[in-house]
Order: sequence, then C-alpha cells, then structure tokens
Amino acid sequence: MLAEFIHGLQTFHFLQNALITAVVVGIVSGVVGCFIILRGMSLMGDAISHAVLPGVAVAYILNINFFVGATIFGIMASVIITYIKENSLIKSDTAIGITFSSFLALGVILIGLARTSTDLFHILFGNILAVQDIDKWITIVVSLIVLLVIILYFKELLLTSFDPQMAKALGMRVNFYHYMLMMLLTLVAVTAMQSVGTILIVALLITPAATAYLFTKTLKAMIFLAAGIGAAVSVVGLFIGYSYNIAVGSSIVITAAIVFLISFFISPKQRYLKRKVRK
Amino acid sequence: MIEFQKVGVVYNNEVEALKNIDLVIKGPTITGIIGPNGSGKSTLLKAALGVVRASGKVMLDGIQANKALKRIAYVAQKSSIDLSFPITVRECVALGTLPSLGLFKRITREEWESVDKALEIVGLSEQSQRQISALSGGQFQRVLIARCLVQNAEYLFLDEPFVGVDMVSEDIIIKILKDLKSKGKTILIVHHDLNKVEGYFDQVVMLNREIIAAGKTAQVFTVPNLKRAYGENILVERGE
Repeated sequence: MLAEFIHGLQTFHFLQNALITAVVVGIVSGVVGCFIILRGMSLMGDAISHAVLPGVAVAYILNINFFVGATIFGIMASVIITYIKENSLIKSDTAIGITFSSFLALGVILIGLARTSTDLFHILFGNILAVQDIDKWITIVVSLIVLLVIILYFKELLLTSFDPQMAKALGMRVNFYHYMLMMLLTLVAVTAMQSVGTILIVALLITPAATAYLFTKTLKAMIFLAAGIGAAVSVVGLFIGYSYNIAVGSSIVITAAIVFLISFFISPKQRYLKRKVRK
Repeated sequence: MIEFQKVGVVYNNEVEALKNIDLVIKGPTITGIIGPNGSGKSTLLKAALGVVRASGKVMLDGIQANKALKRIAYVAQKSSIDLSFPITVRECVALGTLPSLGLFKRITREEWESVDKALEIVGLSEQSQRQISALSGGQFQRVLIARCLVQNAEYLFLDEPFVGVDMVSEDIIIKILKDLKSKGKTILIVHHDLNKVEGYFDQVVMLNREIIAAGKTAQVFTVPNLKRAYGENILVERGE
C-alpha cells in the first residue's frame, strides 16, 4: 500500500500538489496554533475558520481568487467579535457563537446563490486531492509570509501572550498584536480550507499544538514540535485517505486526534501513567 | 521623583476608582500603598503606567510617566500570569531585556550574563532551566523580581508581591528591595498585610479611592488614619 502511494506520488501531479499543500498547511497551522491555544483563543480559531465561508462564496460571485474574499471575511469576523467583547457586557464565547454561526449561515446561502460548480461539501470538509498549481503556490507564499511575521515579532508575541500586563506597562500595543494574530489566523484558515475544510480547520490548528504542549517546556520547542506534528499527521492522513479512498481532511484530523490521545497518556508533563501506577 | 497631579480613574463610566490624587514621592525609597479592598491601590500604579485611562497627570522626574515607561519595571499580581505557559525560569527573567531590544535584535551574551546574575541574586540559579509551572508561588515571585533586576529600571512598581509567598522568599525579596533602594531606586509596593508595614516601608500612602494620608510610615501608619481608611471596626493590636 505504501509502495502504491509512493508510486502515485511519482506518477500523479495532483497527488504531489496534495502532499506539498498538506505539509505546508500542517506546518503553518501547528505554528500559529501554538499562540492560539496559549492565548486561550481556540474558539476564536473555530469562529474565524467558519467565518471565511461567505468570503469564498462572494469571491466566486465576483470571480476573484477565493483567498481574497475569505481573508476579508475572516478579518471582518475577528473585528466584530473583538468589538462586541470589548464594548458590551457580552462574554467572548457568546460573541464568538453569534458571529460564527451567522457567518456560516450567510456562507451557505451565498454558495447556493452563487450557482457555481463549487461543491459546498468540498469547502466544508476540504478536497486536497483537487488542489491546483496556483492554489499550491498561493498556500506556500502565504504560509511563508505568516512564518516570517511570526519570526520577526516572536518576542512581542511571546510577551503579549505570556504577560500582557507587563507588555502594556512597557507601552506595547497589545491590541495590535491581537489583531495581527487574528490576521495570521485568518490566512492560515484560508490555506487550511483546501486541506481539511472550514469545519475541521480548528482541529489542525489546535490538536498538533496541544500535543506539542504536552511535551515541551519552552515556546520555541513547542512551535517546532507542533509544526512537525502538523506536517506528519497531514502526510499520514493523506496516505490513509488516498489508500482507502476516504475523505483526506477527516483522515488528517483523526490521525492528529490519535497522536494527541497517545501523547496524553505517555506525556511526562501530563504524568497520566505515573499517577495511574501510583494508584 | 514621582508626581501624581489631580489623578482620577473612573471604570465603565460609573465606578470612581480614584479621585483627585495629588501625591509626590521622592526617592530613593520603598513606599507601601495600603488600603482596603477596592480602594484603588493597583489602579494607582496602572494609572501611572497608562494601563488604565486616567484624568490628570503622572510625572516622572518632570516627564510624563507614560512617555518614560522604560524607566519603570512593573510586576503585576501573580494571578494575571498563566503559570502553565511553556517558558523556563531563565527565559522568563530574560524578558526583562525586551524593553532595550528592537526588531531583529537578539539577546546578547552580556544580557544573558545579567540574567544569570539576577537569578543568582534571587537564589534560583539551580532552577534556571525548569519550567515556571514547577516553581512554588514564592519562587515564581523571585523570578519576577529577577526580571525587574534585569530591566535595571530606576523605578519599580510591584503589585502585591508578597501574596502567596513563603517566608524564605519574602525575606529574600525584601532584602533585595532594600538593597535596590540603597542603590538609588524608588520602589512602590501595593500591599495588604498591615502587620508588615512598619518593618518594610519608609513611606506609606494610605488610600481609599482618595488619599487618606501619605508620608513617613511612623507619621502615617496611625490608628486614627487606619480607622479613616478601613472603618471604625478595624482591630488594632500593637506590642510595645
């Protein structure tokens, strides 16, 4: 089966595109996911990944690249959520719930109105085997930009995530870094849409990062490990999906979940086994 | 010298946390800010730092404080920090170098040496590679003090540094602060344990949304002032 997959990789261009896109998306999702979980923004990641749907529909209607529409709507959602949270008594999870469900519903309506050949199922659950060259290159370039921004602003992102009070006291614009991260999150959500679909993006953002968190004691180590896990589960998920003819996006997510589950039991930080043995 | 000029803070357009604060603190000194819960102690520090919106002015040696933030090292209450964050003790202390670092710049070898020296001063050299989640409350507070040492700021603002801290750590911290004062630093500490006030502070600012009294500890820390700040029911017991 592995030989068949490797042969497929050597033979089929679509499979090569799928592999490269899956690995790149896995890496960048793992990296951004670290900041998302450490800032307690997992729900925000979910919201933004759902909120890009109407953007995709609008892009089809206006005949522009889906990246542009999705990014605009993703950022719009993050601004609305943050605005509601900071200017009312409504808590953030409520603001997130209202916003993302509305955006998702709007997206479903717009996709219907757009009357394109686009399959809603593929947007919702991904179709990495159909990734075109142009999409692959956009994914690579966007991911490089995201990684570059994180490298450049690593210190600031570290401090604003770890001790926002100190950051504020130093005069740092904590809100600027919040919105910057939202922007990066939106870009990752759009790139990951092809791989796992809007519904499951949050899994690729959170699960590898959460797994890495169980094994590491520094942010840098967590980021590298999350990127590695993200890439590895994407390759394994693609292999399983291609070999057994099942949805690749879901295979990637399930693979990531299994890796997390095993890690949960064996991680020295979690000490699950140690505690069980002691009992 | 820190000058508060008619400083006021109103939360959510309705709760007046501080009103009409006029105060001058001349350093070097260790000044305790005391008062009952909700009296605006932490808000006073945050107003100076520009973290909360305040009316009036706070001046630091004649310069508006929010334009001289690099001269202030601030330690917020421990509860505002996520102790499960993946960061080692050494890295946490190294955050004190951030104010002097720009984009692209990395921490230099000299700065890492100052980090290690600060860890030695607070007695945590052996824990430098541990994750902060492995420390006790007192040890973590010492890490935050070490971060202040690395910042090498002229002013230190500490918000409840002795809460949840064991006696060993408390002794180490107060010795370090007294040493810093002797080197010319001006230290403001938000504090709630009235039993330690006379032993720790040269000056006291007694607050209850407005200044009840401010000045040398012996003059300010008196029963009438305590009753004005905390209410008539406060129980005062004093030894000889």
